[in-house]
Amino acid sequence: MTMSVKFQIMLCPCAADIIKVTYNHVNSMRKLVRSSTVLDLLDKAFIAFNKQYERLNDVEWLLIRDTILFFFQDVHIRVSIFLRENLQTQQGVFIVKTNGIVPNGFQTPGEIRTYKRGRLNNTHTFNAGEHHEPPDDKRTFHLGLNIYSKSKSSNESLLSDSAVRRPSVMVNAASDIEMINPDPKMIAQLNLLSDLIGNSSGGDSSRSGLLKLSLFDDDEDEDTGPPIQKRPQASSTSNQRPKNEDITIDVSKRNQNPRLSHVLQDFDFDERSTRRGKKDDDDDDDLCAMMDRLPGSTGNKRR
Amino acid sequence: MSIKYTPAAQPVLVKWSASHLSNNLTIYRPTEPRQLKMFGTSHKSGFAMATVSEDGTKQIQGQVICRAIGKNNTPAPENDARFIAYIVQAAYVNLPVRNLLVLACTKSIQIYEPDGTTHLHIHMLDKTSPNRTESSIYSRGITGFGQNSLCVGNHQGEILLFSIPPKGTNIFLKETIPGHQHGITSLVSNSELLISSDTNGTILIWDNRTMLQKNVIEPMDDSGITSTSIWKNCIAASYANGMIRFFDAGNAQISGSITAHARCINAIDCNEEGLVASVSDDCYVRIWKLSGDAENLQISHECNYHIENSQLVGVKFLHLLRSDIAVSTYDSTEIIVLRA
Repeated sequence: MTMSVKFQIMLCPCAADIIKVTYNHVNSMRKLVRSSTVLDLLDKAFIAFNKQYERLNDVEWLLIRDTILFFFQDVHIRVSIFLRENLQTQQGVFIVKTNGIVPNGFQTPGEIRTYKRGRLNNTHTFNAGEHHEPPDDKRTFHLGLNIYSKSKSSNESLLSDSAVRRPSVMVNAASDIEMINPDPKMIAQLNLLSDLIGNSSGGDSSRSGLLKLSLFDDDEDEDTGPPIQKRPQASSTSNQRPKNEDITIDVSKRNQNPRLSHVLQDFDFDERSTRRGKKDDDDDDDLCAMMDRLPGSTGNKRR
Repeated sequence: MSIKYTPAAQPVLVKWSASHLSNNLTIYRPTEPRQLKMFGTSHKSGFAMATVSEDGTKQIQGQVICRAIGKNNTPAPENDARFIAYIVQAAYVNLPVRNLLVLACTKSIQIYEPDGTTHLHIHMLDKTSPNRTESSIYSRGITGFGQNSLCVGNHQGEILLFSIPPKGTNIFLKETIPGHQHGITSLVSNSELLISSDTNGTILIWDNRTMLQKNVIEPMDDSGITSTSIWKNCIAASYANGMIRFFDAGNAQISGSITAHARCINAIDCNEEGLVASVSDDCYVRIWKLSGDAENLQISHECNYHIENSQLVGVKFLHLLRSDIAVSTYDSTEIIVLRA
């Protein structure tokens, strides 16, 4: 934890970026806070912080940063996530990469200008030893964000413009709850579950879960207001829009599904046995009689 | 690039690591031939130094701890956080009458003998809260000029002028000279002039005999000045946005500018040959060569030296006529000596 803060303060490209780190911290905290009074206090504190610190210039920020760095001097704890992501050496020293985009307000190193009587006289360049790019205001600032967050793409890194790195072990951090895109199917399933279990106080008759069976072709719905046309034969139902999401079950064709018909055949033993034992009394339901009726039982046949 | 540095076989080791401050390396260049060089860096409330033999092999370490002064100017217990003073800048000052070690701290200015053994004087800074942006009380910027004058700047933009006796502890504040609207970041002087810079980027040029303002250099952009140095009549100023600018001390006009570093420049130093060394948080030491004079300045780039994973906080030339330098790093007890 100490090393995290040290990392964020030390690796800030310019001292005034401590404001951006604080913004990231406050934004992450806002997602975790549930109580509205605490959220209110957080917002007030943030506004007060902004009011005090946004007018400082960069050298004033340097003194603030240097004073903070007093606390972290000589702290060289090695942190596993930093070691894994190549941000810290085995001695505990942070790896400082300074190529790439220069901070806001800076110019890319490499130019020497000379002036005569206050006017530009000559410009020449020198080799800065590294590749630099001009400042870019639109990039998101990454220091201060949750380093364990799963939502980062593999192209981003903690230092915002370093080389691609492999994402290491990630955990769903609490702040990711809003960031994960929910699966629409999962949402639909959860909704259905809550409708079935929960109360149907919605009052919407179309979602009340009430099933209406119409077993006969000329059945009419009694509850509905406007009289409906008599539903014609099944062959011409395509002309009509079914209301209330009717499901038509046709039992005229029996053997459509072989598996189902096989299951039905298994139930046929009742029919056969009743045909066989029809002459017996139906009251004759003692155990022996039942056993007689079992197929394949050889003994105990009553004579 | 015509200068190539190699690190000395043995770095100078001090007991405590260097803090992340601007100009955090000071060298005592002895005036007498028998005396040895001393290197020092500030560490939070203390100053760590090493006395080093000419070849670098023998080193003796020493430390000075800032005194914590409580109410009514009596010493306070060391662990009382209300009175802990942090060193903002430390410097060895060579005056014709005397040599001193000056620690410019928060809340006070403390003066010692160069070896740190004897405490000479402590000056408490005014506790009146400033009505400006600075809300902490500190002193920064140390230079000596003339026979016996020592100047230290403060957070309100005032320059405190002390008179130093040849012996003894009778150091007193002669004058408080207002001038800047913002806290002072650096003071340098030569035989005629005193140059002061502040957090806003303003440079004031004073005549150091009369202490009257001769000229003003207004800020060039939004960035403040972290460190200054002077060569002939040319002022070199390093900025927090990575630029180095050169000004003519005579007419306050800009003579040159370099987009030198990709991070804040922490220190610059000049030697008498016209070499300028600059160090920054981007782990580079860069050497520039000035030739001509302030009116007609030529600047060339001499060297880039990269020290891995080190935020460099101080640089000083070991000799005024040679290009060997010493560099200090934040959070490290080593002062790296680079020989050309």
